[in-house]
Parts: sequence; structure tokens; C-alpha cells
Amino acid sequence: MVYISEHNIISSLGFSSSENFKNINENITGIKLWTDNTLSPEPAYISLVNSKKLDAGFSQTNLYTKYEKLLICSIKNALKKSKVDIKNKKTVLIISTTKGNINLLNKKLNLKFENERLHLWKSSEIIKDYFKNPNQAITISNACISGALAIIVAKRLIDSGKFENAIVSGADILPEFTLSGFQAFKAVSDGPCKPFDANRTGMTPGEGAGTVILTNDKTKALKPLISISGGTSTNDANHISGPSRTGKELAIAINKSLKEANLSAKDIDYVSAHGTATLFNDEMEAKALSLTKLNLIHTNSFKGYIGHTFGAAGIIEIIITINSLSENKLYKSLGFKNKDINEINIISENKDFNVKNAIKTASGFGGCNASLIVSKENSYINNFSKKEFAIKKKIKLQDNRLFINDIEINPINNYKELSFSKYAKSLYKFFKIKYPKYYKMDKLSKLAFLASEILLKDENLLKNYEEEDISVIISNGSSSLDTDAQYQKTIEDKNNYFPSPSVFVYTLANIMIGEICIRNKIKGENTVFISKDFNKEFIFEYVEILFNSGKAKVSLSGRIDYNYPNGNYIAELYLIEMNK
Amino acid sequence: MEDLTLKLKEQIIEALNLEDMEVDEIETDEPLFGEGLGLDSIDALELIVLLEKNYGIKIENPKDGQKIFYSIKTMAEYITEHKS
Repeated sequence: MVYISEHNIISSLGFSSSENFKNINENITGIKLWTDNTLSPEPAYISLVNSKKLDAGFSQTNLYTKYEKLLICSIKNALKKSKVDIKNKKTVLIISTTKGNINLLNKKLNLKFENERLHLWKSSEIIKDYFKNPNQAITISNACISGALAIIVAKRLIDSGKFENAIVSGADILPEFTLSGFQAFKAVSDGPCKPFDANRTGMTPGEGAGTVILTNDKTKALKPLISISGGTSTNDANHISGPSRTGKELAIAINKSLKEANLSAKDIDYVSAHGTATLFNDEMEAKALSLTKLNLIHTNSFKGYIGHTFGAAGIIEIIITINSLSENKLYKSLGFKNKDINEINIISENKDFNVKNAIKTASGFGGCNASLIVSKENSYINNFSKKEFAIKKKIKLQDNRLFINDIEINPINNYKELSFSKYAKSLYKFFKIKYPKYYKMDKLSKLAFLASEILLKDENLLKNYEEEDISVIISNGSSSLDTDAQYQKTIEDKNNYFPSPSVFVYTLANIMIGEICIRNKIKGENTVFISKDFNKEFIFEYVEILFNSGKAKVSLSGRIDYNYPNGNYIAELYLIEMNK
Repeated sequence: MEDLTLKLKEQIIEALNLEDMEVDEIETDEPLFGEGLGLDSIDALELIVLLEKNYGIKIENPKDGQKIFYSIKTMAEYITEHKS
């Protein structure tokens, strides 16, 4: 069993969980109109953390970036009352973020930090060293499900016996980079966002951090005991930015989590939805709740209070959800007034309600979905059973060299002299791939796509499996930084300011997984783990955990990385099958 | 008008990364979305940027894009009408 030990929230509503709970209880929003043009040429409604107060927690303010300060401050606060020891070998540190220190790309800000800090693994290392955690930090960057996914990964690593405790912390800042991108997507609301309202006009970008400490030791847990009783991720296999039109894939994630928690829809008392307030997200979620017979269950979204905090959202929102379980109180879904056509049961006023089991959902770019179940008094069955697995095929594509099952083949003339783009295009033609979308992909996605095409060529294995039993677990180093830098150029010059939506959409590492899933109709577990080097042992161990816990039966896994800034690249991809 | 349609085709190929595509492969009257070039919602947003960047025309409501971006012809007509 995995229990909650302690937690912390930093958002526009305050620097502690209790301060956030108090404001939410009073239906106060932290969203404000921002008119300073350093973030956006046009005024925008956003949700920001008080930077001065954040700096006040540090005797030297120039050692850490704002993103790192958010993580440090949040973890520190959560640890204060927790009996879990972060220095223990059995405690793992898991960090979730979408963009980390992305503001360091903006040279005009004159931030005095080394470029290496742009790498998500680097900032995680800094946090790990700050707290003297003895293990390698695990970093998850999987768009807007990163936070929820980090908790799922933590639960699995504890349930499997690898660790006893986990410090799961997520953070994202809101720089011009992110705000301009969502504005280019025409996705930002013209007022504080209105999740699930019929007249919703988009999301409210925000920033913040959340930390939740998990343990398998009841004596270290908060009372009343609350457990993470289920968690699953799926992929829409539909579009890299638009959500599923049916909600079927989020519904699969919900049903798999229910099964894991040994619960059915009628046991669920409350749904803490993602509810970004974009037209399509909320519609998709409403459909998923109908498909899973949860449409009459009390549902809310916290985005109307603190905006969308991206990589922190899943963690911050599960903490508020946990509070509903311990306080037996449901909170008004702020911003909601008018029912939409897809009727679900949105909470319009705070109310006292005995919440025993709650579901938290999340969805993000790249077509990813996640569901998490938190329970009071529920004892789920830890149904891990050891499964054997076999590597069916391996391909390696590295700096213009191609290996299939460790045998080098060089089908392209003058391959050594070609740029990545030219080499990749030659491979695309050599393998007679016909997929016009390929040309629109960024380099990282092209690399991932080609590697998966070559791996799956003449391979019928996936056809033997249900879409939802196929997983894609990828290790990556430089995230989407090569494309991030390209996007930054489109917003650098104020007199030539044209943020590009088609570049922005690729500024997340997990878009590459989305592309593979769309192409091959893969709908199972999907995660991008960020680490400096390919930690093959960990990736295989994680795939094994997916097999052992019945979350996947076959997996496309390995390392796919397009290095920033040197442009070296590697795709080392394995087709792994669980033995029957 | 013909100069404009030719220029538009070039700009679209560049902005949307339609590598391998030549201007004469894009029909002036054919729908750009769905069938035809098979563009999607992100491409529509990129076309909004294209109009603003190259012609100084701002489209506030992405829904208006449906009519404007129906084909190269409708785009060219819209630009001719609205060019500042």
C-alpha cells in the first residue's frame, strides 16, 4: 500500500497547503489580469506565484533559478512535518515538469546561469544534491499529465518493492515562452477560465509547485490514512494537440485504475477533473465521464482558482483532492455557471460530503491521459506477479549510422556527410514510408518516428495485442530543447513577434510518443523519463513493472534523444514482449 | 491576383513545412483542409500567423479561418479585400 505522508502547495493562493485550502474554501481565485508587457504584448489573465515571497526563503537569491526555488521551497515545506527521511536510500526523489528552466533561453532576461541548467536532468540533480538524496533523481516530462504520472510512477516503484518512500515534486514557471505559445494556439481565456461552463473561452496559464510525500509505512502516514489506490496512463492516438473526440482513451485509463483499486464506478464519490476550460478538453472529459458512468458523480476543476500549473497541476490538484477526503468537503468548481450540452455533475457550491474514494484525471498534448484514485479505508490488492519478458527486436540509429539487431547496415550513400534532416529524409525514402505528416515533425519526432517505423517494419507482433496493452516508455536527455530554441527565435524580436503554433506544438518531449501512437494506434501506458545518459536498466525495470502489474503486455522502449546544443542524436529502440 | 496566389502557395509551403511539394501541385480552387492538402487545426493557426506576418491582417476569432482558408482562392480574395 502507498500512503500519503505530507504535502505542500505553492501557487498564486499561497505557500502552504493550508493557505491554499483556506482560499479555495472561501472560493477566492488567484487569477489576475497581467498588464506588464514582459510576459506578453497583450494583457492576459494568468495565475502567478509571488516571486518576492519565494526569494525571501533564500539567504542567497542568485544560486537557484525561480523554477529550482519553487521545487526547493515546496519540498522543504513538505518535509518539515513528515517522518520520511529524504536522505534514506529507500527514498526516491521524483520530479515532474514540462519546461523547467526554459526562461534561460531568453537571453534578454540576463539570467546568470549556465546553459546546462536548461536540461531538466540538470535541475533535478541540483535539487537532489540540495536535499542530499542518495539516489538518482527521476525526472518525468510528459506534458500536462507529468504531475499525475509522477505519482503513478512513485506508486509503482513502491508497490514493486524498489523503494519504500517517494518525494514527488512538480513545478513549472510561466515565462513568455509558455504564455505566447498558448496565445498563438488561441487557447488562452479572455477572463479567468471557466471550466465546464457552456460559455468557456479557454485556459488560464499559471505557475506553481506541489510536493507529495508517499510511503508504504503506516506509522509515517497522515491520519486519516489515505492511499493512492490506482493509477494509469493512456494515449489517444488521435492528434498531437487536440484531444480525443470520443473520450474513450481517458475512459480506458479510468477503468484500468478502478480495476487496480478493486473498485467500481459506484464506489467513486468525487471526480477531480483536469478541466482546463478549453472547448475540446472539457468536452472530451465529459464524454469520458459518461463512458465510465461517472457523469452523475460530483465533479470539479481547480483551474478557476490557480490556473493551469502544467507540470505541477497533477500534484497540486491531487493534494486538494486529498483534502476533500480528509475534511469530507467538496469545493465549488470556480467559474462554472451554465451547464454545457454534455451534462456532468459540476459542483456549484461548497458542500459537506463523505468522500471515501476520488478520481483525479489529467490530459495533455501528445494525446496523453492519466487517472489516479485516492482512497480512505480502501485496501487495494497488490497484484504484482512476476512475468518473464523477451526482447524481440532492437534498432539503433545514431549519428547517421543504423543498426538492426546490432548489425550495421548503411543503405544511404555519403551518409557520413549528410545533415540529420537530409539523412532522415533519405531513410524515409529508402524504407518507402508514406506518411505526409512526417515532413511537419520536428527533428526529435522525426527521429522517434523513423526509429519506430524501422523497428516495426515487417513486424506483425503488435497486431496480436489490444491497443491499450501496448506501451511506449522512452528515456530522453535534451527534451525538446532544439525545437524550444527555434520557437524562442519567433518571439525574440518585439518588432517581428510572430509566435509559431506549429513550432510551439513540438516544444514537449512526449510529442514524439504521440506521433508514434497516432501512426501505430497505440493507446497504452506512455512516459518520457529524462536523464543525462540512457539508464537502460531503469527503463527495462519499469517496463517489467508494467508487465508484472498487468498495465502492458508489449512495449516499444528505449532511448530517443536529439542533443542540444551539439545536435548529436540517438534512437535505441527495443520491441519487448511479455512471455505468455 | 495570379501573382498573389503564386506567392501564397510559396509562403504556405514554407510556413507549413510541406517539403517535397511544388507550387503547381497546389490547386488554387481545391479545399486546403480535410481533402486536398489535408491540413489540420495547427496548420490553420499557422495560416493565421502567416496572414498577420506577411499581410498585416489580424484574425481574432480562429473560427473565421474556416471560410478564409477554404482554398488559395478564398485566401487571396480575403487578402485583397483586407490588406492595409
